[in-house]
Amino acid sequence: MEKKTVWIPVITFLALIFGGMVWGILKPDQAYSDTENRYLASRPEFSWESLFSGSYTQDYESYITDQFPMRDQWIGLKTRTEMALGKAETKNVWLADDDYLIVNYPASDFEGEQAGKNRDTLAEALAYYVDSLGEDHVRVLLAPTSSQILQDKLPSYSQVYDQSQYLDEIIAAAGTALQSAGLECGAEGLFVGAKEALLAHKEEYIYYRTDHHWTTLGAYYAYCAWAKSMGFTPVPDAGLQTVSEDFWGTTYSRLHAGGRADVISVYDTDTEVKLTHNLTEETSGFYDWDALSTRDKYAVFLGGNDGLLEIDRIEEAEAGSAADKSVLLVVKDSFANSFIPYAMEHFDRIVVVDLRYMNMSLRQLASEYGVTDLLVLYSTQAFATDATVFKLGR
Amino acid sequence: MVFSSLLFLFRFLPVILLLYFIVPRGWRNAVLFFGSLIFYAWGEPVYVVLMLFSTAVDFTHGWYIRRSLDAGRRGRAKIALISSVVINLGLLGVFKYTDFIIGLVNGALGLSIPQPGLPLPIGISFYTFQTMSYSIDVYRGDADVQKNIIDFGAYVAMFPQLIAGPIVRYQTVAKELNDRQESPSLFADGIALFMAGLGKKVLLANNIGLMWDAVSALPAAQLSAAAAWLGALAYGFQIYFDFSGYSDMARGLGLMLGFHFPLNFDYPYISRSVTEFWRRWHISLGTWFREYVYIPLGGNRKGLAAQIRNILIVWMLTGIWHGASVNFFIWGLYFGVLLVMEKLFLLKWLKRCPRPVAWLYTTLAWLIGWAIFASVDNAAGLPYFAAMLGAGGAVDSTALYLLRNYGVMLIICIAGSTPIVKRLFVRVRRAVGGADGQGMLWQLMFSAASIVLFVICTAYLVDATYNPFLYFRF
Repeated sequence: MEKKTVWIPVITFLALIFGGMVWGILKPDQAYSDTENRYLASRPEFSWESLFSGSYTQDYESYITDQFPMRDQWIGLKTRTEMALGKAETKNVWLADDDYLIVNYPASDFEGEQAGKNRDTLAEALAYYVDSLGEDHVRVLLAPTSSQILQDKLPSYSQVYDQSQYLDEIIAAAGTALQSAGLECGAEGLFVGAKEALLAHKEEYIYYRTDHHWTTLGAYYAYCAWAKSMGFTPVPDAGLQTVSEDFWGTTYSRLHAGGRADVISVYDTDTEVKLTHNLTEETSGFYDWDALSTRDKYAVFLGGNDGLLEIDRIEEAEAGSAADKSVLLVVKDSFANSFIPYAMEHFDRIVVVDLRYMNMSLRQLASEYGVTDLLVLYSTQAFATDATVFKLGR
Repeated sequence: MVFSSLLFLFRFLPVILLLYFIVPRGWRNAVLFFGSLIFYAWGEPVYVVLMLFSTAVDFTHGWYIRRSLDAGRRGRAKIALISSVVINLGLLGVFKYTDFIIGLVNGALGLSIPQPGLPLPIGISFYTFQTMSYSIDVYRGDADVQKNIIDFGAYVAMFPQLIAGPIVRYQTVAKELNDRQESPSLFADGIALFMAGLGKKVLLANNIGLMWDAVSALPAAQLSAAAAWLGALAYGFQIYFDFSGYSDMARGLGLMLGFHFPLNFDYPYISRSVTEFWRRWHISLGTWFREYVYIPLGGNRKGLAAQIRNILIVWMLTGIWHGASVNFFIWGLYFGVLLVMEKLFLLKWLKRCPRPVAWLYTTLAWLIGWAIFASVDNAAGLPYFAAMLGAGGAVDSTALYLLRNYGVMLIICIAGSTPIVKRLFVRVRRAVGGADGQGMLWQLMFSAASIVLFVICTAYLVDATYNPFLYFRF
């Protein structure tokens, strides 16, 4: 004789699977995830062709997964479970000391085909720009990621790929390219020693806890190293002003648990500038304060990433003729965004190019703008893996 | 479609259960058959035709075999049986082994015959073995002929065991196919098994699989012995929890629908001989080969030499059943040789030596076995064994980091591969569930545990960065 109690687990189970189904169907689809900075999969269009090729069913599964209700909370629950299981690393993120979430970039990022291509593109481009601008006017700054500098915070026995290996390869390739272009300068001096500059301050707040970027203080130390190598006197202190104490960055968005809110500070400069975004939209000042009230607070610097950004001083528009103006071309990823306000101390004009969103010829652009100096500034990892670096050679 | 997916848990399963239980009993096999076709076609929209073909072949052959037997024409029945076996093995041969055989021929004769590169239909090794078992069972008189193609189709395509076993022989479910009794208590037992299987697959196998991936991603020449052995151990746990998890889910779903599928894994890692290991590992496959290959070849009835030959034949076949690649062949042969040795003398010794020694020998045997099994994609096999023997040093920081990161997981896996958890479950059930194990407190505890497990599994599936299907080669 069966007892009625046997229905309890049965009804529980059915409630879970039916509940999940009904909830998933009723929940309106979301096009974009602010926290993951990506478009979520949408309901695939049915066609017989896509059905037989298998793409329809695959897309449908991604759709169910991406649109699952309370996605971020589920991901957070998973991370917490991982922590409870004593994991030191989850989803290639180290759960490090002092509430740091540190991305573990694999060796393959730096040893793959793309990394090799980008190394050679940069070497060739350096030969070209050293030839046209002079060796004192060309610099490369490849920022190490936090795993390189904050090793003391990593879990014990962590295996960290040493990004300097890749940097050394680039320097060697650049040396060869310069030599075969008949230039007498060595490659060594073109590269800013960002790693050493940051290591000297590794106890300070130079990387965000929950984001892959360096903080403005980290950018300042790298800036000092760059300025000295250019023969400038760097501004004496970082001049930081705190603008947000509630920043949760991209690394946190992978995990939705762990870490601690970051503080965003900006360089509090007196220099008044006008920003021209992609030749059309004008704004004033280095900072887009509206970004602080969104999820992507890092976009406060320069208003995010534009393909082409011109930065001009407002008060000095009349001074000097165009010919003696110093114009810095920065080819960069988002690591440069907090760095550029410091660099502006030494130039009349800065032209910022983000190759991911820019398709003009860089050489032509450099000559049209009367560029006098070049800085290539990327995080080492982004440089090694970015598929648009080839545009550096055009 | 796989069980460990949001689509299965939150779309397919609720819909199929609803349809299954609202239709009259006579229609349930039809719901099962057509539902299973959708389940299969979801992942194999084209090859579903192949499965239907195999179904139709054995349905008609079974019918013809029975009719010939009834008419006293054994010769005709035998021809029909051979035809069925040839067609099924032909399907397997064409879709699974063509590239492999051409590769071997090319290598041996220096030719360059192009390989067609046909993708392997999911589950083909499982369902062809099942349909063959039907024709053979009918021929031997071990099973009645199935007169309804929908019922037969439901047996072949039955989604719980379709893509990763257990390999259910026709005679095992023949009765339940036409006369089974679903019930809430059977359903509740099914939930327990399904939850256990889901947890094994999603929480244990996928997690420890990341450890094996971390090891196998490193060049074998750089591995320390500790890292190499930890890698093999992680792989052993991954494949065990993945495979037995699938079997548990299959058996659980079967119970929900009123079917009793056979036990497929019985704590193989506690075995104290390789012979015992293979009685506990993938039992339904071992049974299949014993019933349909080993015994027909004469088994142990024709002298020792013939028995050794039969063991080696069965194990070479078992090897390449797992995949069309040389390492699986070597893997099968390796176990064949070990089994022959045990048969000849080793088993006697093992019985006499202390239990931990016998266990250690067996554990080393399957660890080395998994290292052979895993070296499929590359020629890394030999360097990996060199690393296991200490070519890359004894211990390095990689090994220490693996222990640091996966230590808790390893302990859980070790506990999970013994009967401890199950015994605990039974004991608690007896303690709080009363004489019939259905007391209110027990049901509430069981339901709460199901919710927790289900919610955590869902979290891992929503964040599914790693959820492999390991049997695509089988």
